[in-house]
Amino acid sequence: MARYEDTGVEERLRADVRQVNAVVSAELRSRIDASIRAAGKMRSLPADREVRLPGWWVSGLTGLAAAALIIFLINTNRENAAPVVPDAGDAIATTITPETGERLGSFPLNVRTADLTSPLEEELIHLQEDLEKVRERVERDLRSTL
Amino acid sequence: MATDEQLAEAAKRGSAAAFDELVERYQGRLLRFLLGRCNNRADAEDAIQDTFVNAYRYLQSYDPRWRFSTWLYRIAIRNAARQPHSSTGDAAEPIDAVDPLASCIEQSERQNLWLVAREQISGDAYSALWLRYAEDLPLADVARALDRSLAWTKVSLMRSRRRLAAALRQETAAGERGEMYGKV
Repeated sequence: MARYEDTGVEERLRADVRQVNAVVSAELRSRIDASIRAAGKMRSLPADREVRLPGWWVSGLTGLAAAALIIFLINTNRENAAPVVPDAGDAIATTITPETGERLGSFPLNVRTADLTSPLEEELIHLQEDLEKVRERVERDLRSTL
Repeated sequence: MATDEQLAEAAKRGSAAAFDELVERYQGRLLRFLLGRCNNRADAEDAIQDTFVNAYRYLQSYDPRWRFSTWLYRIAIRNAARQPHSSTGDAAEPIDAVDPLASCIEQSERQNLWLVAREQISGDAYSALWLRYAEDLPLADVARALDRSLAWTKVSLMRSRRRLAAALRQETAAGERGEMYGKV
């Protein structure tokens, strides 16, 4: 009985769907066509390739940018700072003879001011070398990728 | 005449004409389906537009082992659900005064069973019913389009048929009563 009723429902559904007349208007069709054309233009852009950049490529670029930023900051600070020209007084002050109270036992403390200019320059040279290495590596990887 | 799957393959290779032909074949069928799933015509039209755009955009992911219609209806079902006034079967959700599906159905003496289905059956169950009996898709394809199990699809269709059969019985009984009163 249930099966008979089901069959009746199936037949009725199949018959009634023929009475549904949905017409796509010309305006809707032109909207669909315009959106597909827009999607087509987007698809033709090489977006996929940019998204699928390998990890080493991204990390190389990040390293390059970080190194460039550090060098830029160092150079900026050096340009802004007044040049350090030691005068005669400073030269004399480089050797400090401690007071009596500062003496440890029988050994006098001979203290010299730290000269920071040379290590910073060395650091800059090292950074520039690193930057050059990264640049060469990125160029090599780009050649092998493209 | 090329099949849908052949056209989809051609469109995948870049043929705009092939995709245009697919739009031509499916626009009416999709609109009929979406008018039953959305609560107004504007939402149905937005959903059909999004469906074709998404189909075009993700054509490369279409697996030709499955019917093209199954894949397209799957996209359409997702887009219908995304519409702000999608018909989820929730009774609290208001439906527009002009039922978009009813406005496309010719007036006849008896009520169209799809309008009864729309009133009584929830979103996915309605879609299952439509894909099975309006589109004549095999059960496996219906399940795949809905992203449901085969068992769920079978049970859903059985329950829907029973509800509609009950509605038909009521309609018949009401008709008989009317005839009886008419005689008196």
